[in-house]
Amino acid sequence: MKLHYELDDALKAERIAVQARDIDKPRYGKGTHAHKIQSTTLRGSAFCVIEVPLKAVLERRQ
Amino acid sequence: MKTNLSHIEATKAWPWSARSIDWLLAKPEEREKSIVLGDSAGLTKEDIEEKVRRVKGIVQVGQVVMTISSSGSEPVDVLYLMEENASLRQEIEQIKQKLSEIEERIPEERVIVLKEISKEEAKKEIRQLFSSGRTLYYSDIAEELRLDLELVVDICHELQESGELRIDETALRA
Repeated sequence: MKLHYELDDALKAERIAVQARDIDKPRYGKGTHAHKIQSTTLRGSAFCVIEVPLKAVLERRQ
Repeated sequence: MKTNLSHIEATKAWPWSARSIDWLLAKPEEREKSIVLGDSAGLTKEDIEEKVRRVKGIVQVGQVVMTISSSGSEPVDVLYLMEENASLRQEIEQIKQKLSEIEERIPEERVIVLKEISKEEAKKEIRQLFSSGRTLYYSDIAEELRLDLELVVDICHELQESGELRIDETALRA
């Protein structure tokens, strides 16, 4: 996992999990075309990660 | 036996006498009897009390009708009020429906107190969670086990490297 600490580093994905000490109330707006968009700001020890669906690897018995 | 009929005073306001109402309410055979024998002939105290109750009920209904007519309301007004009532009820239902739609859109606020456990214990719990065969995202794990997101990501990477977990490609395509 690459950790980005630098100012201006960005993440772009379909699903990002976030955690922070304080999260602003979501702001609603219009995105491109008919898409609605919401935005917020994370403050204090913010951590974001692009999520992946994980599954257990089943052991094959012979 | 003397019967106490003092509570019939309410009928004074009513144009009909209690006697005539009583006669109207009586069964045909009783009416004939009263014509032949007079009003109080053969009546028990219970009969009289029952009739008094019935008369009082009629008087009350009559008084309500008189109040409505004296206040200037007509039957048409009553129908108008019923229609208005129905439309207001319909509007309330629509408002309720819209309110529930808006409430669904508002993000749910939940307080999750994070557990303070060692990395090894957290790893055990994550292994146990995945043993059910479910596909889970980092956020699902963090929420279900009340763990710090960064710790979850770290452990999941370790489990992926050791070959215990893999990325569910089918869920990625969906």
